[in-house]
Amino acid sequence: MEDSRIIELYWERSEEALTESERKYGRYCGSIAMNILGNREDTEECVSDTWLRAWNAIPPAKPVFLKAFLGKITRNLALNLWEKNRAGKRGGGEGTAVLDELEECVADSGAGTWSADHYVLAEVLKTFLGTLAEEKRTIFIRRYWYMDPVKTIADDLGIGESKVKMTLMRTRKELAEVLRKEGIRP
Amino acid sequence: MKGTDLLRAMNDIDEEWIAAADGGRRLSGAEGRDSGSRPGDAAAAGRSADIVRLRFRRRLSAGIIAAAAACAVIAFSMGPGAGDRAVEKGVTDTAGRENGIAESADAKVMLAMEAPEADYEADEAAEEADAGAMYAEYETMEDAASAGSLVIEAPEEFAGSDGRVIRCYGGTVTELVYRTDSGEELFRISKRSGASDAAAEGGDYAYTEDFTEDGCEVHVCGDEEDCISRAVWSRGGADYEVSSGVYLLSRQDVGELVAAVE
Repeated sequence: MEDSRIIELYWERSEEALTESERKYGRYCGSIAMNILGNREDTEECVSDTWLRAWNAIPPAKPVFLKAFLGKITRNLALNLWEKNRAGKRGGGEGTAVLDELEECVADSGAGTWSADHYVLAEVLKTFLGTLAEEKRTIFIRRYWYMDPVKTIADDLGIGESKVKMTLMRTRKELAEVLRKEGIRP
Repeated sequence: MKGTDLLRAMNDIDEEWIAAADGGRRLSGAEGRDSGSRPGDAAAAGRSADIVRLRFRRRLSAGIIAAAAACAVIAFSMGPGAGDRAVEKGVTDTAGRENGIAESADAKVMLAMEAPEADYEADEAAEEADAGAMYAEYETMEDAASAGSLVIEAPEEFAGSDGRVIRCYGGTVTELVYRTDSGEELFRISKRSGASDAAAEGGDYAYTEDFTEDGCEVHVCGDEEDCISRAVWSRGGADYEVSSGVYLLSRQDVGELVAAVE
């Protein structure tokens, strides 16, 4: 079924919207949650909650990219659960490794504590990603949005793991510099 | 702010990019695919084939070495008078014995070729451990120079490195190992006294190029222009080499190193 029709079903408050969403994007959302959580039970919980959140969000929302819209919901839910699991010393997936890598970009240089508004940070990230070449941006998003393992990214893109790692390292360094220039990082 | 804030902020990036980046993903869930063929498939298949060929060559090389070693050991153990011992054991057919040796060597070749990659990594680690006894490490280049080692002048930091290790192999080779703050190796620069035609040394790389930088003929090789894993050049009666494994260098990086290293 076309995405536009599924969105219409949401607007018509037809429960078929949920069935169709799960049928078409269940695996996609599951892969996002699984990458973050590394746990099938938690993954299933996140994916189930995704349809409920989507039901509550549409209407009024009218997603242009339904797939990414649903993926965002799953990712948010999975991150919430992952943080909860992390606090309880429980959890797996790529979340910890990805977080360690991103900590490099925000590492305290000793110039004092600092903070950033979520939306400011999101805007800086959007602008930054907009400056990247397509392949570089794809690799960055695959790693830090989808939280795909480096090997999977390399295999899917038909490039070496070393290139993926190198690209990620350079992009993180560039991002750290952008954050510093924007006054978000000391 | 923490890394988790960045993770959260990533959620608000453009949905178009999220959808575009999903173009070639393999999904790990149990349900069926919801997208078509992956754009990277052909390239991935080609690369996989290259990796298989490369591994096969490595294994074949290892197998040949193992076979040679096996022959040497057997020949040594048989040594002078081996024929007598063979007679004592009732083995009189020399041709048969030779066939046995050949079969044994072939068997070792086959075993070496079929051995898991981990075995070779273990072997490489053992080789590195052996090599550990061959060099001396120094805190500073002054210390190395006063010990009679070859002096190499290079930046203290480069490409995000945080510290370097100076290793000297006698007075003829000195190597700088650049690492990140977490101890991960970024790349190495080595200098060897006595210039040779270093650029002519071969290798199996998808990308090779020769260019002139700072008056030196530089030969680079790697995956592609910005993924260089090796660069060699000669200057002032010495050979220089930059090599990297995990973290590959761009051509610009190499150019800067060539200009900065003496």
